[in-house]
Amino acid sequence: MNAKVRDVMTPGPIGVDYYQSIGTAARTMRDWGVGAVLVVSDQALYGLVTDRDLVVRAVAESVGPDEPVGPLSSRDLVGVNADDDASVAAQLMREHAVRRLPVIEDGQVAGLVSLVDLTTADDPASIGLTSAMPFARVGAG
Amino acid sequence: MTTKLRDIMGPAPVSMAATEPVSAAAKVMKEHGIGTVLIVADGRLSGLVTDRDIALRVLADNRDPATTRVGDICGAELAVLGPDDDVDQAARLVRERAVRRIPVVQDGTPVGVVSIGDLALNKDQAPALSCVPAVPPDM
Repeated sequence: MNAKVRDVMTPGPIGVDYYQSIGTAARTMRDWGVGAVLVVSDQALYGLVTDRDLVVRAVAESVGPDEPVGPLSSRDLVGVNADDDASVAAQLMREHAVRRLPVIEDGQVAGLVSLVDLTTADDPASIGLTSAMPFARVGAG
Repeated sequence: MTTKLRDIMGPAPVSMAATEPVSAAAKVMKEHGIGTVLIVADGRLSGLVTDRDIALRVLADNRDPATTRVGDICGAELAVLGPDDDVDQAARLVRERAVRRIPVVQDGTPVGVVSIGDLALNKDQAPALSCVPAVPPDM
């Protein structure tokens, strides 16, 4: 039986507001034990920011922790349906060279699915994951 | 035949002195497109620092990246393996020590790094790793 995205995703996505600080975003990631949070602006999904984004887009650029987190976001997100097979998520990550996808259900963001979620699923090979995925070794994995 | 770490490991990360500031490590991670730097103290490999460590141990704690030294945020205990060690040894270390990355060292020189992702993508080891939380609380 094929695993569905909903079976491997991290449900209940955590969000921060565009104008909240970079330090607040880092504490949110720490306190919830996650590597990425959604960024919300005017009650709409604006983008996604990862722990690595905070480091390479702020610390490496001498942007201070009190600055707003919003500008560090990745936009143009690629989403996946909760009912899709996990292999669809793997395929989308490969095609778009991303490691995380928002999971959509009933028009809402129901969770996030990460490459690590897929690789720690019971049988990564069955969902098309191979060591040929070039982005598997880069960044916080 | 069991898979050796040399077959699945990624390239050796950049090394930095323990006295370098965290801000320098962040710049290295950005420039080299890497998420891990190895920390060297007194000529010896003494630890590693990941991008996530910087986010959680510096930014989240309100520490200044320009004055905090990388040696101050890397873990005290470093697990290393050799290139001819088996992947199951690496999987065991990942489980037992809740680490996500293990430097691969030959004759005292770092020659690579193996990550939880490398291990999970090696399908023989996947079941052994399925009990590892997707986001360990530390490192």
